[in-house]
Amino acid sequence: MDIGTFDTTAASAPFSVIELLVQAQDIQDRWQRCNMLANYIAEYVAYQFPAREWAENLISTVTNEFLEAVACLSPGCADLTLRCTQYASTMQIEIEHSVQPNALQPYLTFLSELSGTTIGDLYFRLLTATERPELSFNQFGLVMLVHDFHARVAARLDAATGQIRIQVSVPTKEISA
Amino acid sequence: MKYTGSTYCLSYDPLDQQINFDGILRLAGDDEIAAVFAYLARIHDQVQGALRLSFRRLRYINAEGMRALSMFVAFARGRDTLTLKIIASNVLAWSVRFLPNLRAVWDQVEFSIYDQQFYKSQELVEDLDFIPLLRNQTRILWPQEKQVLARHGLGRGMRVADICCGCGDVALLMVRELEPSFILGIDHSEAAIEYARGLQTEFGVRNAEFQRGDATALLLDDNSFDFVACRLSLQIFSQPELIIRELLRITRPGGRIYVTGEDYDLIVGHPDNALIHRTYERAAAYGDALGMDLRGGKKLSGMLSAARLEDIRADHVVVDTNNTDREAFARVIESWRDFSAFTIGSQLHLSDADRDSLLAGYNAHLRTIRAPHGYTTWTMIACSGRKPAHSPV
Repeated sequence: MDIGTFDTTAASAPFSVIELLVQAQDIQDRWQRCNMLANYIAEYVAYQFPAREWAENLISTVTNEFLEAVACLSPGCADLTLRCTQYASTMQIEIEHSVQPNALQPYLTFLSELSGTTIGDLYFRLLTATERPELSFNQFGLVMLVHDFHARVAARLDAATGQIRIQVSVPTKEISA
Repeated sequence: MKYTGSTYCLSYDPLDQQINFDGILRLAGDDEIAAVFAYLARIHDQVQGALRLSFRRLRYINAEGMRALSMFVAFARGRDTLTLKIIASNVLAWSVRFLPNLRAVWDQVEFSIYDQQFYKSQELVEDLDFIPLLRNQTRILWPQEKQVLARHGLGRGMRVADICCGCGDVALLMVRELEPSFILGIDHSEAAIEYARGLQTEFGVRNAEFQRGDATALLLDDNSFDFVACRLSLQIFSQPELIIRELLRITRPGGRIYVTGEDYDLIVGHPDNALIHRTYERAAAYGDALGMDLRGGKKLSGMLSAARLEDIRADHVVVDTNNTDREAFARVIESWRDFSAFTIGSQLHLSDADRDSLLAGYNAHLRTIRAPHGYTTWTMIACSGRKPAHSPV
């Protein structure tokens, strides 16, 4: 089952790839690890950009929001495989993870909403919300990426294993701004 | 009045009615949001008029941090007693993209990017075309300046920062010839930093790093450098004291701050002294119109003294036709001539007659340099001072 459209610019060889495997529990126990991991990946990937500070700031921000969302949703024992790949026209961050059973349906519904066309409404609804959603997993963070960095989000659920592969792709022109 | 979290600090500056956000505001959960919100609300209720929120030194924020800000803006809207001025930095991608959205929460929120037009000549000075001029200047200044730097305390093994480092050539020369353990070069020009990184790779220098940054809001720790330089740059800012405050902050107690500036009043030449003098008076006046103080060298000592530095030292670095290769000197003046007559000239819409007369003045200076018996000078003033051991900054 697919939600949204995966970025398929991967025909050419990537400029850089970094893949890391972390345990969800490590992040859930020490939330600062999201920040550390996001900054590490950002420094690694941004190195090749001429506007390095801008790129690093943006990549860290994207990675952190993405990671915070996924870490909220995953069972503690789950592994998160995080891969960041840089192509000429986009940067793709993908995470493969499993989801706590009670969170699966709200997560998929939210992802469908995220790849819809009313992102502006959704953004301002979450920005000004006084209450959190019943199941809170950094929905606002993911919406910020789409609304403010023109990121595209796509997801694929493997029904047999329950694993989700979620991809956030950001146009290179955003990172090079 | 401060509020400090594990990775961030919020402090209130009553002088500017400004809350400064420093560090990384990646909050986790309702308690942290509530604590940040409570601090902001407390300050809000003590202020009248406009309250500024400066994010120029906040490296990162997350959605939870944005939630805290959104709640605060909604709170201010409910009170309706103040206006909010939100200040972002072009160096921080998140701040430029996320913060403007707060205006949608309340129309009394003003948003600005501090370093978008933070000095008048920014567009000219941060352009790639400015780099050859900097390189030519370095070529003739460095033989003397390396000795001046050593006299002013730059020594082996030190941790050095070169703020407003331009294309990085002087920072790399410092590494090679004065052997600090590490040097960090910071400049706001993307073009200059890219050039500096290219030079660093070409020269194979490992113990240097170049970053883009805002000299008035450096993302660097307090007291973290032994020697902090800011060369030929204070003259282009309308409020150089804001930069000096940052230089002071990042210098360790007992460390030295070194600044240089040119001073067109000190340019002399023979023959044609009167014409040369008039030309640089006019060039300085054009500089004034763009916010550049090209006669500011003489003010540096006073600036360091006003910043309460100790052991202030001053030196004149005098480039003249006896101690410098005449052709190298001439290339600098040609760079100035073209920059002044064409780049600044077109910015100021100089008439053809004004431009021609400016060109004629620079050409007279060039003739003096190239005349076998001609004599002329260019003087840069170098000043440094020591940060007191018990500095409050």
